[in-house]
Amino acid sequence: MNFFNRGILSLKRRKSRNITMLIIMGMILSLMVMGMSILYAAEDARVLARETLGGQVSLSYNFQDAVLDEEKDFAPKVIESHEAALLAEQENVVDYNAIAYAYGNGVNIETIGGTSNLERALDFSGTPITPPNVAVVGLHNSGLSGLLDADHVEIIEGRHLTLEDQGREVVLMEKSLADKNHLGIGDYLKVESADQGRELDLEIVGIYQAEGSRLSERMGGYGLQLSLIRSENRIYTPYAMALDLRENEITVGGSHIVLPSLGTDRVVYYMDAPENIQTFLEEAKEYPLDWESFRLDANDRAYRYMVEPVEEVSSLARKMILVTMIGGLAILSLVLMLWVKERNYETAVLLSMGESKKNIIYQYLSEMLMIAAVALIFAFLIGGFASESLGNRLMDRQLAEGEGEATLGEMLESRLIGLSSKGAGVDPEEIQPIEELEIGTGLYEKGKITGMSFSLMILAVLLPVSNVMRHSPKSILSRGD
Amino acid sequence: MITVEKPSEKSLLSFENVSFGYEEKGEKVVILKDFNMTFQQGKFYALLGSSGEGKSTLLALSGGLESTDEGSVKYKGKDIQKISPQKYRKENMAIVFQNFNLIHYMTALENIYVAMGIMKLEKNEKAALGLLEEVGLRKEQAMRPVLKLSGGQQQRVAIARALVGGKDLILADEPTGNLDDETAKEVLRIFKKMARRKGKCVIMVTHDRKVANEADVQYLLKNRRLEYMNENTLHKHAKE
Repeated sequence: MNFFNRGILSLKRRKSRNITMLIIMGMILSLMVMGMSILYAAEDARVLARETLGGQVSLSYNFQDAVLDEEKDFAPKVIESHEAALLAEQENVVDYNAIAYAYGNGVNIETIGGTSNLERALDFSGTPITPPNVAVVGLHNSGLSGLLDADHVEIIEGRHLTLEDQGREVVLMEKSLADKNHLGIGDYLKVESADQGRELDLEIVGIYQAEGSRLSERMGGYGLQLSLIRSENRIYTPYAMALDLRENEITVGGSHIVLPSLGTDRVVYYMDAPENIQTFLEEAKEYPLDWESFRLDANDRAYRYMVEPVEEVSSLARKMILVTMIGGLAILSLVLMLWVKERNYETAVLLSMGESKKNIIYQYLSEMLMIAAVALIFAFLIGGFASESLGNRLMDRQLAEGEGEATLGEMLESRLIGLSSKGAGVDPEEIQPIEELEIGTGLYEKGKITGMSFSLMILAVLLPVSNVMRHSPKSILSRGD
Repeated sequence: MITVEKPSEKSLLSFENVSFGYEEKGEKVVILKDFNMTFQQGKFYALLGSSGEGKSTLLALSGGLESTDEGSVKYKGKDIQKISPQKYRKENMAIVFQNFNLIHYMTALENIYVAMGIMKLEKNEKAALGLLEEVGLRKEQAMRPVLKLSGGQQQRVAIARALVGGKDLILADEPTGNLDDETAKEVLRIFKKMARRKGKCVIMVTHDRKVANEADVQYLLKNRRLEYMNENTLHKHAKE
């Protein structure tokens, strides 16, 4: 009869004691399962919120601070290519892209659409000038989603721009614009900066087709109907080219005209998983970037708005686990101490017969773990059911409290979040506080809970048993325990 | 210095210059000092003495349940501390206690199985029942939980357990202390049989002179001195 068989026999023959132990363990483990199920569900909800908002973080000029700080220059600081590359070194970044907007004048082309408001306005001044007629969008990689600033951009001929194109004078051109001007892959597009100070000969490496344009919508919203912002008149160049062409101020008849910015320059970092965004944000601050001027945005406001009720419930669950762990360990240790004390006699008998301490510990551990396994099954059944009911009741309470306390400021906040998310490519309809938790533990979570519970049991058994093992069998027997 | 029988090649267990004591209220209480003694196979020894004279300590040292302060206890010439007391208890000796020390929630047969398991022997019902039969227990008694057996029957189970694996050395600590006279006689008869017929070395400690008289060799432990006795006459055999 080995230690395992002895353990089984002990479980069979010492029924009342083992059932008591089972009830105590079952109760402690049920509470643990409840707390952990809610916590995991809250964690899943957080991940889901992150996924809804996308696994991207953008680096851009901090306009918010610039507006508030009178000493700061309102003219946005340019993010240089090497600065953009710095944060991409982080472990969780799988790719990155940068976007910069500029105006240009396509010298050897005729653009799509008639004379624009601006062109007409310039004509009224009576000064013959060549106004900018194309929007230049500089990119690191045109193949990455969410940056071409249109609902759908498809390369129909040639290729995308990649990071390797940086420093090369290449361009992507819209199909109808290319057709109108009889240009194709390998031809050159001559583009001047808005002030006509610089001129670039850009080789056409790709022809794209765009449907819908957020850029056109945005500028239309400001009351501007410029032909240059029509999606057909937009060209994509490497990031550095756009920076090179950037000149938003033109002089007409001695007056300076500042052209409105076509968009916010930004660098977007693509994470391997949304849950790693927080680590990225924390570690990013260690990099030598001008954090007075730049800011990182992971749609934090929208994220907080979505997960706020979950955070409250999660915090409650965390407290519940902590109390259960401490209380459970204390109660279990106490019960097990009595249990081990009761087994002192058996321990001494086995030691006097030459059984090894290791096998005696294994016997007690196997007994405990068998009880714990049954207790865990009950805990998963009872705790799982209870956690679903408790978790959603807590959520309802949080949401009810939230609704009651909603202020005008918060309502405005939600509007702002909706607007800013629209700019970040997230459907504002999706940005709603999470109202229900998907409570239910998967295999991985069950494994984790089992591991934690078993570790707790092992610790609770080892502490008192190893204390007894320090004594000689004679002294254990002579103590009359 | 106490010397009783010089260690010889035949000796199974020997004490060589053994000293042992314990701390009580900050003071060292000496139980044994420079103690020498040998025990041989095929003999039933009785160590007689009053409470506190150190006879149980002597047994605990013999069984590797305690370790010496000085000197060594040797089994077949090897220091038991060096061969590991646990291994020694598992393979070479067995103890029969006054209060039987059986595992209460098990049957008599299962107690024998435990000993077989510890010795890494196959669980063998026939062999286990054979051992129990050897000490006078029937099969139906073997199947009963030990707490449902009488004191004498429990002690028989303890003796049968000591016989598992054919160990040479059997130590018995007041084995008849909790038994009536008739049962005690029966238990002593079994010990005698084990020594004489099976060639075991049985060392029994007792405070009862009548019980000690049943042994082949008797020693008296008094004032940390060991004296040799025969059945009826006391001979001073040891010199300090």
